[in-house]
Amino acid sequence: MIMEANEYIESGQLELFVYGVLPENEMIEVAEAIEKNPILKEEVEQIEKTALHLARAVSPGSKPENFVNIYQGLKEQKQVVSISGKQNWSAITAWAAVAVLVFGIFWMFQQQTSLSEDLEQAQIEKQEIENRLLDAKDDLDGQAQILAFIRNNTIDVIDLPPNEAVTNSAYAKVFYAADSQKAYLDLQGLPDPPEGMVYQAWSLLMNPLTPSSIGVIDDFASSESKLFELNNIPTSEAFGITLEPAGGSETPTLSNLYVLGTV
Amino acid sequence: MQPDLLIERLQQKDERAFAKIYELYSENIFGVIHVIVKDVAIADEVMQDVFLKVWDKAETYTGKKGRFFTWLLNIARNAAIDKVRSKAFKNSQKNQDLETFAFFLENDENLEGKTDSIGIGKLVEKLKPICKRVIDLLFFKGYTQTEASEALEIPLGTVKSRNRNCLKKLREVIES
Repeated sequence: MIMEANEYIESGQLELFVYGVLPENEMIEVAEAIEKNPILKEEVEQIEKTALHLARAVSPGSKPENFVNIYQGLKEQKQVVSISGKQNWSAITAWAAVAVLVFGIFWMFQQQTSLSEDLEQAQIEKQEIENRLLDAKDDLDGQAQILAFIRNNTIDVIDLPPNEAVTNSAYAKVFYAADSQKAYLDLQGLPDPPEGMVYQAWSLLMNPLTPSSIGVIDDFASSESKLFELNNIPTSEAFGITLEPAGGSETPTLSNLYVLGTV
Repeated sequence: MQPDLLIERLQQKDERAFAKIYELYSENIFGVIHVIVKDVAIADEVMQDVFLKVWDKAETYTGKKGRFFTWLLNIARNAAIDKVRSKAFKNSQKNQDLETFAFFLENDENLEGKTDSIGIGKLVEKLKPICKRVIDLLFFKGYTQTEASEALEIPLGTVKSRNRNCLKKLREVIES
């Protein structure tokens, strides 16, 4: 048997069997022989391995898209079969089941999408509420701080009456703490500045008349309370507020002096 | 070893088995197709046809007539040869006179894929020209013994043994 196997191997018949170039009857014959003889089978597997390596070595590398195209072709082939086939009820039922399933999956997917959208919306709203809560808390803290400042009996409260040459309805108040060089301006009594203009606050020494800018109020419109905190206030004998071009000015524009009051 | 279980599942039209079979054999099959059509884009096209046929005709494969790889090889060679014989191909092809599969191993720029992991190409280079031609005709082009003996002008009785001796040299690298 071993002798026979060796003859078979040495003849070169097994190589041609792997190549698939033998006549059909010889192909069948070799296939039967290798089923019966593990030595032949082992030999065939070695030949096949060599052939596989050789074929792979000459491949310039196939595109990964090839499989995608093949897979698509395979799906199309299936569809063609189902359309051209005779009325095969079990196939029709199966396709109907597939359609129901696909529709079901699609529906569930949509439900899930809409749920996750709802969830996302709810999260956004929650965040907004949290933000508002934080803002409110900040406001409250700020107001408590202002209240504490105003109630402090070391501060001066200065009324700034209107400069009648410019307006007769405006008024303002300054809460001034000379020791901490801090002041709050209450500008509720001033009209909104025209576009491109801002209010600017000045600290004044009277003799000689020396104005120093203590702050440009560029967030007048957005402030609800119209209370503005100013720091680093120099020693002051009077306060005035003028209307200036946006960004403020070096010196006060006296023709636009809205309010003025002495300490 | 032949993946018998996968083949069985492929025959039952299991798409995952098909994908696995593709993964196992596609690069080898692509190599064979490319040797015949000598053009990567055309080889891509032929390979798609081949694997669609594999899916379609899987149940016709039987181990009683040969190995699964041999069955694939026959489908691939036939499809590639049909392509080469088609009129459109003849009109478009310019470099018909490339010699054998060895050309693609000896010219590095033709092997961007670099799938020769064990260095079989080096052994091919050392083969005698007659060996390259025998393997080219029988394995890559699917010539019968008679056709090969005529093409190579060698006695019919020596085709088989010559091929065996030539292939044996390549087996060294696998068995070592």
